[in-house]
Amino acid sequence: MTIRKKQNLRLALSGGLLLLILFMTVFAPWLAPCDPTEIDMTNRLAAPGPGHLLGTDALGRDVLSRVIYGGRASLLLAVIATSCSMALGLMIGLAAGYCGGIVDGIITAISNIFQGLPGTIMMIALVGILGSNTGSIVLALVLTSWVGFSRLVRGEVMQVKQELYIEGTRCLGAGHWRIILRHILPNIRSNCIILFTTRVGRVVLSVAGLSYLGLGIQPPTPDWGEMISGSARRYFRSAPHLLWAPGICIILLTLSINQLGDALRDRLDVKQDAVKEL
Amino acid sequence: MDNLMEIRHVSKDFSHGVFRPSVTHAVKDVSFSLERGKTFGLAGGSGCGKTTLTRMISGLLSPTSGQILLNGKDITGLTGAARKHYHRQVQVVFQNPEASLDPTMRIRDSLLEALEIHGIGSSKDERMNRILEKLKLVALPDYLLDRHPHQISGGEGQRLVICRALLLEPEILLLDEPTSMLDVSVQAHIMNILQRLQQELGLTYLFITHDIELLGWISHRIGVMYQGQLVEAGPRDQIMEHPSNAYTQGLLSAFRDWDKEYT
Repeated sequence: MTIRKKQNLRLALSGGLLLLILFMTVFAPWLAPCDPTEIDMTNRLAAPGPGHLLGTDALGRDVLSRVIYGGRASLLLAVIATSCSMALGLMIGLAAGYCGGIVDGIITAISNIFQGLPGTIMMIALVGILGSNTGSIVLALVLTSWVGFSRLVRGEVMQVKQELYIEGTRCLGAGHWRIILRHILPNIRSNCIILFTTRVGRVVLSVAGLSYLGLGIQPPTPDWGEMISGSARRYFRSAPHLLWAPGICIILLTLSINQLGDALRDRLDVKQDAVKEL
Repeated sequence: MDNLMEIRHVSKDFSHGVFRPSVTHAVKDVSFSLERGKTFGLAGGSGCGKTTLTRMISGLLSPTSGQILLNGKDITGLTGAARKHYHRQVQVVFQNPEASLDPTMRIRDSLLEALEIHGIGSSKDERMNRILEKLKLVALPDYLLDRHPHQISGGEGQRLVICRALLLEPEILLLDEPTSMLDVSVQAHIMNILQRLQQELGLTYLFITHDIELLGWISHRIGVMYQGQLVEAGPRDQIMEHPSNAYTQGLLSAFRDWDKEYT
């Protein structure tokens, strides 16, 4: 019971923090005190104070407003990219795990090649070649992360496929699609949700990394990663307030997503549940 | 003699390794037949090939050679509608009842699925009525329907699996060690239900187990498997009282010595 309480507390804390961040980003237009792109050259690098609670940056833009807006682009990008790579990984992993044999052999060989490529470098190269726009960032993220999903799904499917209830349902006369959609997918669902959440966290970091290198979300769109790099790098000795807020936001976002992933894993484990009820 | 199913010279080989394949002969040239409305008991120790044989008869594996005939028609390698039709006539009950039901589904949905697959019953109410009717046959209360597989006992689980098989109104039930995971009192209860069902519905059983004494109780004919081969087959009394094969004699005396020592 105490274990369950501890799990619930963790779930509530991480989920609450994530919801808070999501609330902030979704309702940014109503929450932000100023326009995040409004330049005011007469009021550059102002220290935190009554007019601008977190000060202003090198172009005189309000830092608080930029922080509130700053999660929008990267979170949206991360969710889209992770959904795409999960969809791709799920289909490929299902094909490999369910068909087995030669199909599995070919897919595993291709996955090994993709897994052997250094992800970050490939991402930088792809965005560098294709140009820094949303499409190419998503493509780069999907190409470097579908393998993680397909490997997990393949392993899970292979394991679930030989369970007695799958053979039992086959013996009822069920076709392959029914087995996949009604029995295999629901049984691997919890692991997919967990992987999805942890991946979103990692992708947010990747996007922040790309933005830091100037390849991610382009100014003037406010973005936490871009706020830490960009012009802030030149001023961080004289105006450290530029770095604190966006940095903390990135940490809190990835921390809450990863913690939520872990908490969900503990909570969604049906078999663990069964042991406790006995 | 009215033979519903015939197993003719069925063999199954498994090969391992790509470059220097080694072949395991899991089942070697097994032949026997199932008489309508009767029970054929198949006995044998672990690894003797009885599970492989069940998987072939249930359509999960194709034999390397030989034929499995249902009403004179070969059923090996069936696909699509023909396979579905076969499964409606031949149902399987596995050893582990909890593992035979999808853990993410409620019992109700697992049972409904059998009817949905074959399009039996036009509305959900009609299907539920069928389920409630079959639940009575296996003496189960309907409140179990809302539970998940991990919330029921082994005996209840096995009766639910039998109930699900009966929903399709099959002619043959393959019973693959249906009672070996259950304790003795529950085992007796299941055996009584199976015997009653056979009398009431005229079902044909293929009962597979390592427990030859149990077969002596329920079977009309018995076959004994050893290392993939059917070493002896015949009417129950002949096998139980005058076994000619040395392995059968050993199997019987093992159980009887055990009885003498502990009862």
